[in-house]
Amino acid sequence: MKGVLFVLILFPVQASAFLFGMISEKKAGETLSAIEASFSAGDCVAVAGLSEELFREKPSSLMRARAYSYLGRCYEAREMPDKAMIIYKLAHGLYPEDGFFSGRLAAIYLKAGFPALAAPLFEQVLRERSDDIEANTGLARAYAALGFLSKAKSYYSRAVILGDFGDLGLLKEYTAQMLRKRDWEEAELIIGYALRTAPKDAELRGFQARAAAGRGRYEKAAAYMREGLELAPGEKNMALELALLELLAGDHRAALAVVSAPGMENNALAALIRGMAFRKTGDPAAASANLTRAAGMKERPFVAAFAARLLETGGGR
Amino acid sequence: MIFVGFIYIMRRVIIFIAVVLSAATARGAELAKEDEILRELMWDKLSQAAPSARPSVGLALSGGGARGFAHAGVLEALDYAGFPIDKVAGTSMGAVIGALYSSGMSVREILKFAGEASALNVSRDFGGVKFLNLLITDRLITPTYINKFIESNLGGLSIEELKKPFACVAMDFRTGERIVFREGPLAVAVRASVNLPGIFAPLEYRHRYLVDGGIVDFIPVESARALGSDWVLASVTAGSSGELPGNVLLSLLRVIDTQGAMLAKNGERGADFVIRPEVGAIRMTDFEECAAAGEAGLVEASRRVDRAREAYLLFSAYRLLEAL
Repeated sequence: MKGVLFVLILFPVQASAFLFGMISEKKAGETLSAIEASFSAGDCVAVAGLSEELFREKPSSLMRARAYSYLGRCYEAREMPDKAMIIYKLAHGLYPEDGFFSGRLAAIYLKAGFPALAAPLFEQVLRERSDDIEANTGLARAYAALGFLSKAKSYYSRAVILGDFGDLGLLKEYTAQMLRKRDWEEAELIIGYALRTAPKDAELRGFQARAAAGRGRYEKAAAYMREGLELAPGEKNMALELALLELLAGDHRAALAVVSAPGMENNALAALIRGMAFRKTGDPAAASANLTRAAGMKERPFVAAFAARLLETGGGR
Repeated sequence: MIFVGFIYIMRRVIIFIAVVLSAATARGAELAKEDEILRELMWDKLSQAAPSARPSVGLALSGGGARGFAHAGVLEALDYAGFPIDKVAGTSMGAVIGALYSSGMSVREILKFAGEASALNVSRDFGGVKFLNLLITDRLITPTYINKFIESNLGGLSIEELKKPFACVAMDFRTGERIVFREGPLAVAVRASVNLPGIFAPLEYRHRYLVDGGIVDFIPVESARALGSDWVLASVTAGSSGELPGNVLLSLLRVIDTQGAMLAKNGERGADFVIRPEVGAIRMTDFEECAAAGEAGLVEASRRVDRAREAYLLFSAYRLLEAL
């Protein structure tokens, strides 16, 4: 008996069988390949079933991590972020050094409206791979959502540089945040890069107008907005913004002309602008009528409140 | 057959509801856009206006010890938004932050102090307090590190010299009177305002024995108005952590804190807009948490700044129209 035991001890067995469980690396590899194939085919039910099978057999740490990544991505692709979050949280707990899980978990937190939870995870990814565009963008967004606009600027800047200024959507997002920060210089710089990609983009003209208005150059801002409207003639909000810019530039009649166009009759902001313009051109009756109209349109609470305030304080006279 | 028909109808109903909801959301976004256009463009005009051409804005900063560093974060968010601040009033830590800001120090520099608060050894002024020592020696201590910080950053300046009109509040320990500093040596005024009673010795100045103003005026809205502010924004860092105080010092601080929170409720009613950073979990003496308090201030103020701008725009509406 002793002899048999001695022979058994000497019998070569894969180390992983002792360390990680009963499954052989070969079988685990086959299951993982099946998981990969099911993932590519978009069959998440199969991915979940096969992963469970794999986990029961206590595979190696590396294989387990790969299975979690397929499972998490599968849930993400099927738009089941709650399930993906559970998987990534578990995997992040098991493999805290693995940047993939931190990055995906951060992205889900950010999308779900938890930027404070996302930010440290993106930071972790960037400590490993500082040139990861997705993590730089994610961290910029998380910081912007929290109000840390100076920090957001650094990461937006890195992300657009890493993307060679080719992502128009990201350039616009960066510009919008710089306008929010009232960093007109940076906003104009980024608009310049964006215009190289999309010279006929109406929204970029709108951004140029905002930056010019921020610097107090209302005539220039109105000119940009007119260019924007030429590129997107039916854009009502651009027309309203143009009217307000004309009013701020002191051209009350031009403002009136824009908001007296067809289609503006039932618009609260148009009524408010008309009210203010009539007041400035010396027509108190028309001013009062339009302000009263705007004040009654409570669906736009701030526009209505502004009009009401003007009426209260004598702006309609 | 009936079941299949039911499923078919249900599907149609669900699709219809989804379409209606999506249209309602789009309409909501469209309407919000008009509010946003008005707010952003009118704000540009208002924030660029000369101080004489718009209602003056006063900032009232509450006490709160280490929590008061949240005011620095609030200032950062207001700075990003281009919020004009014409006059500043502060109590206790609010007086420290307000004085630094009124002296012309940038928000970035003030926030740097928050990050370095541990190294500034301010906590040592509290760490050195031993109840037994207080009983045996029958003497209150001097806040060495706090005084050093105030002297090195504000020493030599007078309130009249500051870039923005400034006021801070202290209390006369003998009479219980509220003392508002609007002139005189800045360092003395700020030291008096931040001087916790019962722990630190009252500051003797002009026959008065001065201690922390948070006991009588936690949030100095009235002082901001007295400086001539037409519209007052208050930053309030009241609240206390749920844990029981572990020693005499912390118990005393908790009493001061609770009193401050009660005063804040009344005081902030006089403000035109209030920002309350979520710093309740930070204790008054947690000076290692100053940076976290600053971040909490920034987060909360960023969340509320659009509403604050709208409130000030509404207040200024008529003057804005006149200026067009």
